[in-house]
Amino acid sequence: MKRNYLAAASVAALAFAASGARAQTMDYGSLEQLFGEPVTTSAIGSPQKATEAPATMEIVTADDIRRSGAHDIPGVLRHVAGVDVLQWTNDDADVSVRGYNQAYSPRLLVLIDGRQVYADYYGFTPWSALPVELSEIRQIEIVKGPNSALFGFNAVGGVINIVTYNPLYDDVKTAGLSVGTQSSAEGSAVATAKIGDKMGFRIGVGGRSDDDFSTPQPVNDVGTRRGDNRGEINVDGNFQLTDKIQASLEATHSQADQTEEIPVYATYWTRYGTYSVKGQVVADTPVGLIQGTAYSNWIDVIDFGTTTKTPAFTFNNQVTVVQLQDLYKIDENNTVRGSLEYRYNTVGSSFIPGAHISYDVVSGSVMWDWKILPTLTLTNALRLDSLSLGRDGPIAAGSPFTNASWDLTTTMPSYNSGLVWRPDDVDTFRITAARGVQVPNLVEYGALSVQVGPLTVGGQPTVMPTIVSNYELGWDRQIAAIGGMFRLSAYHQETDNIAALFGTLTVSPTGSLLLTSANIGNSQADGLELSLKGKIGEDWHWGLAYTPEVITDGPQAANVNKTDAETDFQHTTPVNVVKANLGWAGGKWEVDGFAQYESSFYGLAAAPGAVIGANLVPISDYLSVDGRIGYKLTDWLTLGLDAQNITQSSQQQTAGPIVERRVYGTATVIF
Amino acid sequence: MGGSGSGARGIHHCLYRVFDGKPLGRGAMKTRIFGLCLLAVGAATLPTSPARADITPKDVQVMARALGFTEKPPTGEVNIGIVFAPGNPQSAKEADDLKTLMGTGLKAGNLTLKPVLVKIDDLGSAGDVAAFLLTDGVGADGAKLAAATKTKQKPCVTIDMAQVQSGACVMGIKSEPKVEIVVNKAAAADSGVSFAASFRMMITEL
Repeated sequence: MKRNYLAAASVAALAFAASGARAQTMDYGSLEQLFGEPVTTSAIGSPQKATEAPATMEIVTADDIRRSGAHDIPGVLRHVAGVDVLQWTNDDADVSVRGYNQAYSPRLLVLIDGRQVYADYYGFTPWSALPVELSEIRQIEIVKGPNSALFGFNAVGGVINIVTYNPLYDDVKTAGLSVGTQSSAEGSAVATAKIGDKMGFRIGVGGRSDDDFSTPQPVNDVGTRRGDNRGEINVDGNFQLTDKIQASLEATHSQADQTEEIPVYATYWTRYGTYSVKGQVVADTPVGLIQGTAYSNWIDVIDFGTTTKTPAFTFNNQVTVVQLQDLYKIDENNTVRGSLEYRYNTVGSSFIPGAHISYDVVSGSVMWDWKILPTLTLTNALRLDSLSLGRDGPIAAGSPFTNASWDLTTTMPSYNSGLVWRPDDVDTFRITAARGVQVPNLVEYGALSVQVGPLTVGGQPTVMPTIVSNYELGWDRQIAAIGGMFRLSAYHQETDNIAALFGTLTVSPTGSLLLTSANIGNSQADGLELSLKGKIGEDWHWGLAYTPEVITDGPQAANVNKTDAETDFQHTTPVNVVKANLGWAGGKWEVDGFAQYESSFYGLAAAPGAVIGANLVPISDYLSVDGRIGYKLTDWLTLGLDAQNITQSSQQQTAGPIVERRVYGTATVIF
Repeated sequence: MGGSGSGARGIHHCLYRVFDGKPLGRGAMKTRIFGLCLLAVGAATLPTSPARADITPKDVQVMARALGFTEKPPTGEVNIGIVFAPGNPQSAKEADDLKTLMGTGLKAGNLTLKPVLVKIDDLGSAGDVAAFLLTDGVGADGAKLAAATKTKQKPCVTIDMAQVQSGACVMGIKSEPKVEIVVNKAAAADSGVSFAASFRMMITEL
């Protein structure tokens, strides 16, 4: 009898099981329901169950996001094992995967539905300016380690792919309001609509306003707390053109003002404006799943100085990307993917205006997923990027370069290789090797150009790409007794040709000084990831992760300042990080708690009175606790109390201003 | 260069610094590493789910969901033929359980599945069904099913992988401990069934 009740309950769940079925694009929701776990394309470009990917990855689901109590994406990611978050100010945070975090962290590729959303002129991600609401995110996929062979530049520390709800498959109508400490007020709304079976639309809008923390600032930073604001709108249309062809169009706009930590480890008040348009066609053909994508991103950045409201420098960056790929399952044991990509990236110069630095990149990549045995799969991916650099416009008087100096072409290979062995139903073993390419950003290539008396400061054309190689062993074991999984992963990572914006200082024969970008050294990291997660009954879930990592920086002979922000990773990465979470849901209540411990490390702070260079500042080990309580007042209204740094009114987590406790009251309506 | 030759040094640094940069005595280090190993081994040796032979509600869920990924999925109110061998108690019991489970109609989105019991020898007179759901234990009679699905151009799903291997049934599913789906491409072609591309990438095709 008991079995029949269980059966009836299970069958009732089928009411939500029907799928659109003509899917050419990924119907994440239906596939997740079918396979009982999140699915992803972020590891090899082909749909996979998360547990079978030849990469160490995490998937944060929409439920995880909602129950995190976070109010921005870094707040969600800080609970994920192997992800490091530096919370500089109320709205500004930098995120990295497996250490190497820094201001304007450049090693991370961040995508929304496959469109890169990091600020390409400097290679970092201004999280507040991302045109997406938390409530329209289906899942966030975090791939740890290089994945350049699939995604190209910046995917050296890891990839974060934000996947939103698809209006052809998903029905989402929600709105939320919250108020909180630091005079915070925010609102958000997301809605999908279908016209017949063949057209679906989604719109997301959101806004936030708050004050920065009121904790003490360095004298030079006083005046940069001018209030943080954020607004965004995104519109997405998906169309089933035929049974075999889908198309989509997307447009976004965002604007964000925030006090933020810049790479010289001072705070500036910065205004971001972003726009994007994207079109995509996916066709299921006899020769594979063919996908064509084209998009352009525009980002306008105005950095205001520390003591004046006059813009210190501005960057206007445009990126255009055209991609064509074919994913073809040759037979039951072989799947291949071929891809061609063209990318154009340009930015106007600052402080000396009127010049443009740009590059064209032509890329080709292949991926081969080979099921050698039913239990053994080998995946190899290879990519070649050919980058042609260019420059026009005026040059600083003291620069030894001419525009012709930028007429350079570089070809860079990257690869990913992974062997996955699944000897039984519960164990998965991975051996992976990867080489990722981090191309110098446009500022390092010369977009920043300053002439002060005899001193010329700026990027230069001969700085080389940074290469990150990663070798990893991984073991995942599903454990039915705890309704969860154990993971052990060990990796060795080498970073060569680290690029630093102010990497070398030379004196010309005429006596002028040249401070330019340069490749200044190497670094390596050895780390472990131990994690265990599970459930207790139907109501409780928990997780525990320990991710020790040791970074050893090599000699940096060319570096003009040993404590340059961009080069000291050994001291600025905490060795021991422990994350734990515990959640309970019963009746109308949900309660979740998250704890994070970081052992002592050093932060970087601008050297007083110096134009560049930073000092190491000791940061004591700390424990921070976040949490959320949710109460479902009615079927359509949920009230929540969210908090970060619950146990401390203020806490030093970086060498920047001390962060404060943040508490929010929220109301969420589901229509 | 931080080349591979530095790997041993890296491991040494790791062992040295993994506990906050403080050098540990050999005893203390061994104790901590032993502790980590205990955690790993302890977690790994926890029991996993037991083997299972009977069709379960979760199996039925997976079957229904998988049918949604055919390129021309059934819609509205349709019959699903539960095929059983009357002479096999296991097969007959599964058929009865399934009928009870699905009641007078299983609503799944825009699809309502109505169970219809079909004896393996009566496949020719099964009437209009959207798909066949094959119970376990039909054995060699599976060939009769293959002929029927080919004639009626309808798919067959089962948990009996042997019937998929033999081509008698189009799709086999396993739901524990992880969902696995196997499709016999020749049987699918014979039955006039094809699947969405993203679905095909995630299953085993024979």
